[in-house]
Amino acid sequence: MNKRSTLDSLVLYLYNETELTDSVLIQDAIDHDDEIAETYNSLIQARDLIHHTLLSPEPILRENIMLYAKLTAAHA
Amino acid sequence: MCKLQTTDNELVSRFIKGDDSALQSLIVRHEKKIYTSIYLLVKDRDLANDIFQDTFIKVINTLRSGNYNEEGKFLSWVLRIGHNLVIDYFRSLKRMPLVHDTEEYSIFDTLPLLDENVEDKIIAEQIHTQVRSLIEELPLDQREVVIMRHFGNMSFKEIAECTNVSINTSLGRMRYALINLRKLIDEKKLMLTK
Repeated sequence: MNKRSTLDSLVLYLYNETELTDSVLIQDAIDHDDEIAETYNSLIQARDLIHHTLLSPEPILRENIMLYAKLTAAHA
Repeated sequence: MCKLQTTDNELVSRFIKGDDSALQSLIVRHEKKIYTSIYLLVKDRDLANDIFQDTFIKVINTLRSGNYNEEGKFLSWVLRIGHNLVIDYFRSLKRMPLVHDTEEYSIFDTLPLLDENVEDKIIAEQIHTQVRSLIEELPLDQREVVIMRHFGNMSFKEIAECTNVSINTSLGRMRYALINLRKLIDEKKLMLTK
């Protein structure tokens, strides 16, 4: 397994897309290889930050959409 | 006892049968992810507002015409509509959005996070704004993968199919996106934890 495929496996593991057997192997690598563990932790930190970037649209947008739905319902 | 949430498919069915409140529920449920996805691509609030509305106009028209057949992938479908509208917009301008380069950020000058208080909440919001800005700095292909995976809940296989690349390429783009985000955080010396 080369470095790139190892990193790709870490990404898959990070997003819970690995098969169970692969998950066990990857977790073992994280537990016993400091470099892989450090890389994995770095990926976790970046991933977790992304969750906090959600923006809320202005309420008027939803109102406009609902108004469109209402006005066009008669023609549907 | 756990109260089961009405599924997207059930809400879609209700809306098609004439229940507009079902559409409202769908919008409330997914609006943040959809709006953020659009905004991260266009990086302009006014434009994001327009495309967000246009996206749902298309959603409404398609649902009523009986052409919806995503079978449980409502959010992914809406995100694709929004994404395509963004592409259409930039095609109409005959350019793609430029990644902001060397835009000056003020150093995040603040106290370390202390116990929960109003000041902490303000600081947290500033952090979120800065992280959002960092995502905007990513190359478009990396931003797309981030948006599809995080907001669209698409698997890397689905992302690969949607963007016409191999799964290894989509994985690589996500890998670079996360690594680049980490680098940007370090470069801009963002204080994110105590």
